[in-house]
Amino acid sequence: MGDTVSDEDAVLEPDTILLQGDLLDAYSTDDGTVILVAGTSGHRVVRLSTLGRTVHAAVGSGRTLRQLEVELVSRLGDPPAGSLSDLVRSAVLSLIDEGVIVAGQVPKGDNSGDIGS
Amino acid sequence: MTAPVANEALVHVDALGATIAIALPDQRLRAPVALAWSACRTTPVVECPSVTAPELVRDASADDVARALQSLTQLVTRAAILARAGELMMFHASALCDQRSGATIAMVAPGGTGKTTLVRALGPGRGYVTDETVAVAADRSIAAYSKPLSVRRAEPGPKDEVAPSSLGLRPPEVQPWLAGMVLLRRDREAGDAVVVEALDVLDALVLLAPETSALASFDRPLHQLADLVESVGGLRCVHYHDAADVEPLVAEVLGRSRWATR
Repeated sequence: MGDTVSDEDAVLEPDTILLQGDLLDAYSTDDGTVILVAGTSGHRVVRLSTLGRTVHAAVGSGRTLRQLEVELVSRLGDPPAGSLSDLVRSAVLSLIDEGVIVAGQVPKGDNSGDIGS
Repeated sequence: MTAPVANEALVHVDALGATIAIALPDQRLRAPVALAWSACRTTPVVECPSVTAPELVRDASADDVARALQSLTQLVTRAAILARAGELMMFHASALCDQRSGATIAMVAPGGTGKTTLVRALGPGRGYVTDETVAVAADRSIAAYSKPLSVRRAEPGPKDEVAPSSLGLRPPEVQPWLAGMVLLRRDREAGDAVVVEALDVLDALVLLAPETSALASFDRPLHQLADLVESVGGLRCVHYHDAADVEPLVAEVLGRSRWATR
């Protein structure tokens, strides 16, 4: 998986690179989506909320946290209440905790956050 | 099944449809192993997976023997699961079948939560498929694993590995096939009515997946698991206290016809 950090030491900064976890399968119905992700201590099955599904899809092949915020606003519009950054951070931390997405290291000396998408 | 011989250094057992060779270097384990595994004995197969039973200390107690037998069961189960990974969908479950139709109920639950108790209570007169791992093929046929039952003692100590016949249980007489699946939750108080809850397929996946073995060995594992669950009419969660409370559900599933559930 390369330079990633575990959920225990995940410190999210605007330029933290987010990647999808090692997804083995996804099963969807009208009621939602369940995914199977590979982890270091075994596989895990997670039922994603609508927001979780959107965040997972928006992360795609990799985005910084800052880019993800922009992408989510484009997909969902502005949040009805609360801080966008706080909402996204909370959702991302929850998905990192489940292994659905992983946080890569912030490149040293690189504050551009421009990794393409 | 072959007749048990009490002093063999190598015995072969059928576990989840795989033949496993058990090496018994310690003579003191040979008779108890021959008895406990009598329902699984089979003819030797060349180059089959093998396990070696633990050796006992010089002055081994009855508890030491029980622990060694318990370890041996775990070794055989692991070897069998490894042998069938990617071929059979395997669940942490006990199972009973109808001795005429082969209709089988798989009762899925984590270890130590009542699987063995249920098959002991509801198994007489039915086919004892397993108290540990249910292995299902794509056509829903089940590879039986009529292993010794791991029976918890009233007092603290190791579990005893007991031959099914010693508990009035008989292995399946016809090919078992999966007719229904339930998830066991022994969370009701004594005297409470049993509660049976239908689960949607997404919840079923979330609850079943942790009770599978080698799920990731399959191509599109969640889809295969979902297909299996839906082919038996979905997963139900049974909240109960006494094993007898589950009897009507077991009878209902074992009364199913393969024609009707396909």
